[in-house]
Order: sequence, then C-alpha cells, then structure tokens
Amino acid sequence: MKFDLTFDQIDIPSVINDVVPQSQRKAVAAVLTSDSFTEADVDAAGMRLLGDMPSASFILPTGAPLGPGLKKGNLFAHLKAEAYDLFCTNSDVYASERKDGTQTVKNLITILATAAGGTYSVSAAVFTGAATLVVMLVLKMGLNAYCKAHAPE
Amino acid sequence: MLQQLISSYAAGTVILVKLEEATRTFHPIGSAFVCHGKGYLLTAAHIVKLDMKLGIIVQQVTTDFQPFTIPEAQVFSVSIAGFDAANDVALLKIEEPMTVGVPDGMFGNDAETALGELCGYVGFPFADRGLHVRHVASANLSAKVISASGARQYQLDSMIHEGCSGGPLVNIRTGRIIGVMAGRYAPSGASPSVFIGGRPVGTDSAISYATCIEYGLALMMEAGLEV
Repeated sequence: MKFDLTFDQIDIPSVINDVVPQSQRKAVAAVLTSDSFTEADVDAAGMRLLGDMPSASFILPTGAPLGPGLKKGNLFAHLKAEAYDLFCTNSDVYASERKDGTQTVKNLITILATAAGGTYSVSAAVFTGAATLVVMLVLKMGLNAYCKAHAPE
Repeated sequence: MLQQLISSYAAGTVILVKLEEATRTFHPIGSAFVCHGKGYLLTAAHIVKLDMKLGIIVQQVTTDFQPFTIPEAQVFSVSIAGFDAANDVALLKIEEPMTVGVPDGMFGNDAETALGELCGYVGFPFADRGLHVRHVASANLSAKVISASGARQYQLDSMIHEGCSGGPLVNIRTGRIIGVMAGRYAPSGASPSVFIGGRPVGTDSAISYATCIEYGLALMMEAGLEV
C-alpha cells in the first residue's frame, strides 16, 4: 500500500474539513493539529468519538441498563485492526484497494470508515473521524513502524 | 397544559430496543422520537453502542386505560445514521422505507427559551422492567449549563427516570422541541458502586438534564436532511 503524500506534506486542516463530519471535527483537530500527538492521544480521542469512553461527570445517564449478553467491545480497537489488515497484510478483504496502487489520504480514510460502517451496519460517516485519526497515526509513525508495532503476538 | 405536547409528540416518541437476533428477543434501552418525515429519529448517544442491532416499538396513544406491560409488539429495525458521543445525541433511520407525519416547525432553540420556562418531556421509564407505558412529565427550566464534555444542556427541576433518555424536551409556550433528555444529577457520581435491588444508591435527585436540540439538528444536516 502506498500513500500519495508523507505526513509532513499533508494539510491536516484541509483533510479534516473535507472528510470529517462537522460534529467530529473539533475532537479530531484537537489531536491532529498538536505538534506532538501520540498513539495514546489518538486512542483516547478515537474511543471517545465511538462512545467507547464516556466522559466522567456527575450526570447519571438515564438509558435503561443494557441487559443481558452485552459485550463491552472496543470499537476503536476494531478500527485499528482493520487498518492493520489494510496497510500491513495481503488479505483478500482489501485486495482491490492494494491493486489500485497509490491511494490518496482521503481515499484511505473513506475505505477504512466504509469497512467499519459495513461491519456494524452503521453509516460510514459515524466512523470517519476515528478513521482519520488512525490513518494519520499510520502516516506519522510510518507504515513499517506501525505494522511492526501492531503485529499480532 | 401538556395536552398540546401529547397531541404533537406523544405518538412520535417510541421505545428504543436492543435486538437479540440469536433468541429473536428485544430489550428496551431507552426512548427516541421521530424528527423527520423520511423515517429518522433522534435519541441520546449514551443509550446505544455502535455494534448493537436496534429497533423501535411504536406505542399507540390512547385515552383508554391500558395494561402496564404489552404482551407482544411489532418491532421496526433501525440503523445508526449519525453519532455524536461528545454531545450525547444520535440519529437513527428506520430501515424499512417509510414516510411518517411530523408537526411543522417542530424544532425550537435555546435563544427563544428563557430560564423559568415550563417544559414537558416524553419517554418510557422502566420499559426494561415491564412498564411499557408512555410517561409525560413537566419541568421548569432552571438553568442552562455546559457539560463536562462541553455540550450545552438545560437543567430541569424534575427527576428523569431510567429509560427516559432520548425522549424529546418541549418548550410548552412555543410547542417546539428544544432538547433530548439525557440524565439526572447523581450526588454520589455517575458510576455508582452500591446497588440495592439492582438499583444504584446515591444517584437520585430532582435535577435532570437535556441536551440542546441544536446538536441533533447538526446530525440531521450532516445526513442531508432539511431542518
């Protein structure tokens, strides 16, 4: 998989404005426009965007208890696993995207968000902010470094 | 006083359920309300998880006496079309193509809503425990606040019960929806550690919150809907 740009060449605000839904831009920009964002920053922001990490407060949410059989999933972890599949493996799932050769950053965000949305039958827009965070993380770390760091044990 | 609220919004406020496909059962998780004629609803984001299969149950509005628990129900599948966890709103779409009736000019805003205004809200408290009866309540708008995540919310002098999250908050004077019910103030914090009879201790107060409807309208516009 090849990117059209390196991390330093990307106009991050432009990518955010073009791709990320308005309701998610502030959270994404808060991380990506920082000079020294880390994977921990990305993880925290991504989990909050996807509802994996509720804000601590004195307000008790008054939905009903979620009932039996609820698995406490980490959707952001799933998104990062999809990114590993896309960028670091030769799996069939993303064979056509890899065959297309060099991809734009915006295309890659869309590919990842669409895949995640399809998995859960949810609009891809819901995952776009989190997908932007993951793709930028891959670019910042470098493809080889990201793949090595996230290889399954 | 609340008759206009009931006639305008009661029928469009529904029970939101989590579907268990393996057992073909459902579990009520909160409330939602119709926000657009193309079959969209708004609810509170904290009610849902993105990996849930969701449905809604529409309860007919009746002036007759009714049982607490309905023996069976028709469930309409819905999917998540928008999700704003920070501001605690989510947009749902009824999967079966349908058009639904909605009142004209149904949405208000915080500029036209003054402190002390009488409001009303609709929801289905304790539906998970078998109370499948629509609940309509009134509350005075006592303050406008900013939540820990930066969301603008209305503080109300009412005790919202579990299951009412996701229902509409209506300005009685204007007849328009101004918020999405979210939660209540918990003196011991929102993560209780002591439970009696399955109910958390130290989380009751007559101070409740609704998130400003503007965040819901933003999700609707992101989904390409006219508001």
